[in-house]
Amino acid sequence: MEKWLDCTISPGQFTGEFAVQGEMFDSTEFSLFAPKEDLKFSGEPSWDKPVKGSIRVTVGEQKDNLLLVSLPRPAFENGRVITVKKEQIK
Amino acid sequence: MLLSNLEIHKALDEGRLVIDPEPQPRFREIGVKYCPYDSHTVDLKLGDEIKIPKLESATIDFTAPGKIANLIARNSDRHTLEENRPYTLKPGKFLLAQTLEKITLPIVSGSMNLAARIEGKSSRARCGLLVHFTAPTVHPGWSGPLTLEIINLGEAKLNLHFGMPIAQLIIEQVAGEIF
Repeated sequence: MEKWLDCTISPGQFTGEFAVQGEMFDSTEFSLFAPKEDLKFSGEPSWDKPVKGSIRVTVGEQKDNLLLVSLPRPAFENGRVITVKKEQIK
Repeated sequence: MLLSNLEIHKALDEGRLVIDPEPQPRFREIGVKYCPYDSHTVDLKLGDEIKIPKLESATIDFTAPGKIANLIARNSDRHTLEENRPYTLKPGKFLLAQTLEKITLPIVSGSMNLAARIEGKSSRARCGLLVHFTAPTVHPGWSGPLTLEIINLGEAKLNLHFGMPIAQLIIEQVAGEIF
């Protein structure tokens, strides 16, 4: 099931790619580079003004208020699959 | 199991593997100077964007969560390769680039999915050019150009041209379902 996870977006290294920062269920941060087609945001992010947006995820297992989701690219810190709270997902 | 060149063609025709733009020609014929397909590999070309890291004064802490992507992106210079204007990579220097081709390995439920590995080319390696040194895996479900971690380990300066064959892709079948 495809959903969108809240995140913060700033410029990436290559054209069409952005640096994405988000939080897991326990507020631990993760970061990754993701292509534009896997992101939703308005405006043009810059170094000084990152923008709020969301990143496409695929939802897997659910337990109580927690969800296992798969990111479109691996996060530097945790790999591709992370745990988030239900309310972080749209 | 590794796919042969003919099996790579079949995977391309069936959409189980997408390489865009598709490397051409598929076969060696009389008068054709270059064919990107070898027995079980297909060559990939260098794209036009190069990122030169500027991290001399930075310390990357892999246990500091949430900061790595931003730090790396913020501290790199962008260089665009143009026709007939190569970038000269000096000995010992490191940069990031991407393949010209976008690779897509769709995950199809109930089907034997494909994964891939990117490898260097021996002709380049003999001159000291590494195009990846630790991250060759392309997972099922990937879609996008492949990022190359390029370093010159030789003694000579190396010219990097837009569109030059720089790496080769090996396609593998993944046995079993993927969770």
